[in-house]
Amino acid sequence: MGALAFLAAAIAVGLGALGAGIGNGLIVSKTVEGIARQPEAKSTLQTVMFIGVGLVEALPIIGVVLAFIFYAAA
Amino acid sequence: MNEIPSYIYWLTRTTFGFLALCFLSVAILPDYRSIAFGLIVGSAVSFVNTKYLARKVQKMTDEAASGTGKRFKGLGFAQRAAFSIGAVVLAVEFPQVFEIHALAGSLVFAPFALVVIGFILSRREKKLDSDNERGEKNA
Repeated sequence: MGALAFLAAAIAVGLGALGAGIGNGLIVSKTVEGIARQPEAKSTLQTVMFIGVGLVEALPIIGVVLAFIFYAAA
Repeated sequence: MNEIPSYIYWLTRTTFGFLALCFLSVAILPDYRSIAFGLIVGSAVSFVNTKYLARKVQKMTDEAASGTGKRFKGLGFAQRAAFSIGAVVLAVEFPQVFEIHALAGSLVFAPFALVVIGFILSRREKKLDSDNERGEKNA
């Protein structure tokens, strides 16, 4: 159980962080690009970014929490 | 007009309603007290995390719009993850008080509530716009 639990924790954190990093990067870059092109659309872009980043970051947070649970169980 | 404060307002109402339901279930169903406490802690942490994210997003987009070219250091993921881990440590240390699975599950309460709130608010706005257009045509 011990070694496999550590492996599970590493996979949960690593893959969650990878996906969230790519997703967050895309969201933030496109939002900043949009605001730079159209500053009057800032409010809408800000709201979409807020919801998008919130959803994307829910996954790595759950990954970190699961990893901690595996780590505590090992 | 900035839309984020209205989202935060509705998220606060939703979260407080959910917390009230959980406290009621603590009083009414003592057998499931640990699950209710887990849900309370998880949704409270999720709410605080989302408010922090809203502040960071506002700050970041304001700086992007102002065009000062200042470097922005990030959206505060480490702080939010640390806060969530703190809640899980609480559940690991006191498993008889906080049900860990309920806590981990309710850590995503606020993001999913935000999606539903966004859907409802955008529908309402669209309805208001179409009503205004119809009023202008009638007038």
